[in-house]
Amino acid sequence: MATVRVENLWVKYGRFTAVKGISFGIPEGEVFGFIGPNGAGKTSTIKVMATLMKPAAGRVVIDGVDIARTPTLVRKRIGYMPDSFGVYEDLTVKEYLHFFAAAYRVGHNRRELVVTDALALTDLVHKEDSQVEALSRGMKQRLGLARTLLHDPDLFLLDEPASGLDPRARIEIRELLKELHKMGKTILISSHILSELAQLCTRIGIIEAGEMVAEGSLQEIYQRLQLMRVVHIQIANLSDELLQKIRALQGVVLVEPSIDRISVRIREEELTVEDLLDRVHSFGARIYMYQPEAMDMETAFMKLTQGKTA
Amino acid sequence: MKKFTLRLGLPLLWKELTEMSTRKRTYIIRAIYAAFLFLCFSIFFYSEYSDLHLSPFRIFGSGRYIFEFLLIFQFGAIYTFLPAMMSVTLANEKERQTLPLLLLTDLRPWEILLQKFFSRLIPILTFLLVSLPVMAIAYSLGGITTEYLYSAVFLLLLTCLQVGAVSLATSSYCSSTPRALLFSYGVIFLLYFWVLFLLVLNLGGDLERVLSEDTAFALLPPYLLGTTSAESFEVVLNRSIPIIVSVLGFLLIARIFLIRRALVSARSVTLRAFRVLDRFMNWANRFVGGIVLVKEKKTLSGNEPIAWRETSKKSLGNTRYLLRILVVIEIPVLLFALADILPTWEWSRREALGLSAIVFVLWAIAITVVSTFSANLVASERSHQTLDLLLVTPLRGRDIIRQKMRGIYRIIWVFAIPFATVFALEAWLESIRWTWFTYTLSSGIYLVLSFLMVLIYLPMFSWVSLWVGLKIRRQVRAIAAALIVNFAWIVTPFFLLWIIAVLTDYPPLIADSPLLFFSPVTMIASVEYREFPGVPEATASYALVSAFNLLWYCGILFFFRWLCLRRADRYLGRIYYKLEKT
Repeated sequence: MATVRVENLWVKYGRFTAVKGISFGIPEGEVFGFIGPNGAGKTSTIKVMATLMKPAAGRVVIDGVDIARTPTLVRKRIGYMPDSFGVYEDLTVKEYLHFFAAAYRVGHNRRELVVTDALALTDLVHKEDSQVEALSRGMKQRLGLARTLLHDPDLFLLDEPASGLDPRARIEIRELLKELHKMGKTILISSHILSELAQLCTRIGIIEAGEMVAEGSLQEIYQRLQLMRVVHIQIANLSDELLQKIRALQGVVLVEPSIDRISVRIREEELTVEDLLDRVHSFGARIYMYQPEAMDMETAFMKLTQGKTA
Repeated sequence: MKKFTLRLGLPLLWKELTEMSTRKRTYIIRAIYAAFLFLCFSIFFYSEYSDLHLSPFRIFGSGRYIFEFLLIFQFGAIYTFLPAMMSVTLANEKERQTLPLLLLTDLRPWEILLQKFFSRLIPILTFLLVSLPVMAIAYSLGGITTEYLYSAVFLLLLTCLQVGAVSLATSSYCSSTPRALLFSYGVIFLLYFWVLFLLVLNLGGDLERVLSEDTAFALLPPYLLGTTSAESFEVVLNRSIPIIVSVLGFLLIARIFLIRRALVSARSVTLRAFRVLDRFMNWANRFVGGIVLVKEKKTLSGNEPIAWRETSKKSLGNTRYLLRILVVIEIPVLLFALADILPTWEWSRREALGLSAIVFVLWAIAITVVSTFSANLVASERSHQTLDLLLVTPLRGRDIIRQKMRGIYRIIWVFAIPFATVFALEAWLESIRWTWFTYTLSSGIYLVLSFLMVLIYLPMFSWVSLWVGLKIRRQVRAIAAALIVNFAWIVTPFFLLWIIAVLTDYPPLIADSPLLFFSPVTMIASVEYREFPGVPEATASYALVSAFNLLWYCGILFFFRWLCLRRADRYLGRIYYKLEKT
């Protein structure tokens, strides 16, 4: 059973319709990438799931609980991180986390332990006495993530957690999310940074102008779009004969030689990345680099969307 | 049109005017103002000339009364609307972090400043133009000299410039719009009355010989018009030099702060000031042996996190800081009270009129402060983007509201102490002399009634303002709306009775009607002066009316409290289900 079920969700702001009847599900333990251009309706959908906004129509069920009927129960089960980071300028990092631990009704005797764990997981122990306002943007994002961990939720709703961060901070956030995934948490993450989502997400949903244009595992979407995987190979003893043999393989669509490597485009349903390696090796090739490109989410995104806004 | 715009080269001014012209509220406010002006004019006209059939010639030369009435209205409009319009101009750019971008353009600082200045002056001038038809009627009735007309128009313009310059300077200094708004009204108030404060604080010295009343109000254009109306325009021009200098001075201040404070962040000024004071106190303690009056424990949030933050982390909630604020209020109150009662030692003859004035000023300050902070409670969480973080926690909406109000209750208690001081002084003064007042309303009853009013009225105004703040999302609008609602509530009964009195041709109605008790201030004035409108002079009837009045306002207090708590989730803007048990 899916941890999250969104059924025919409509969100309106006055006369403006931000979300137009989208439906999707997130199974337990999955990382769901929610992708779409600005103004597509991602934040509105996440806000409804976080019980912050009443939908105009439709239903959202989290862990079998309808958010419209028992929102308080849902709030205990979700960790929400908005796209903006609200700052209480008068609190230190530790006070901030204790504040939210109390708001999440974490028992008084457990609070210190929970806060210490959250600080350790987000690597903020050395900053516990710093004022929140004095933290860098990356640290604030990590503190925001620490806040969502306090009540040990099963579902994380993260709205653009890596936006505006430098590469190091982005990698740190990504590693943290991988940790959470390993812990079996279900995560919905919206982002514009497609390459990162490709490394992290097990499923994606692409939304445009308030409508879901594609939803499923990456593999399913690539198959649907007939997208190809690109593999870069560097071979020490590259010859025309070897190239001919590779081109003749079933599942290989195109082989493009360049100065130091060849780029092979394959249909994964016919020839997997691992099989290609075995076959090329069996041709007597001396391989010193074999690098499959991350699935080309940007191509998928560009193919599926037209740059429309709601 | 495009060519015209480019030729003038005033991009910021055009942009501001275009933005304002696309806003619906610009027209709504102007229409309401015009309707109100014409309504008041009609009633005034009717009250003055309803008996013209008895003496038709009386109308000739009487335009001066109508003209003066309209001028009061115009001055009122400038003092009410212009600070609100002007103070947000630069502060808003800072909040949106667009001021540095403006400074990076080819526009020079003075150009930015003046274009912003005129972008708000032009709309306020359209407010003044609305009254042109009725002014023409007044002029046609005669009694207005050309000199007086010129002086009036000149001083209206000068008021616009002066109020605008003050508000622009505060906008240039402040980092957030609510702060700029409050600061503007505060500085305008101080600008006109600081000399008066000096005179009162003089405690019988020689200051009043040096400073005349004219000096005290030298910067107040309406006062200048009142005192020089019979003289020539030239005299008005000469005497308005201090006002012109003040305009230039404030524009210069605005220019200085424009760049120096362009990148200032919207942090709490009070909190920063208190932290600086803390550091100074700690340093000073090395010399005085480490005296600590209020020892502050470092605590972490208990089971009521929002209440904890409101009462121990905020500048206007923390006990130590509140004590400082109490001292700041209490000392001037005591000084003014002593300045009022000490000069004459014949207490048996003295009336506590000065103390009553202090009570009224305290009420005005307390209602303004409490209303502002209550309206800002939720609006500030919204503007700091922290409300959503609270709303996704399992805390119930009513708990969030209840806990947020704890800080406001502390502020109310801080005000209760100076109130109690003045009430006690007044009661003591009256207890040592026998008057008719003492007979109808003893000092004890006076004390109880006055203090009950503080304990009922201030929470009532705070819950009403909180309700307004919950309904309106933008910070400045929420504060302005709460202040307007409370002000309208106070003056509406007087205004309606004035209309009824005019229409029924029965002027005593305004002062004598028990309907005045629908305004909260009536009870305050009644208890202070021991004159209950429309109530027979007797202790029993006074006590009965007071009890009913307090019960009525207590009912309003609990109604708004119930409304805010009952609909908290809805007002806060999150999903709620009325049958859900939490």
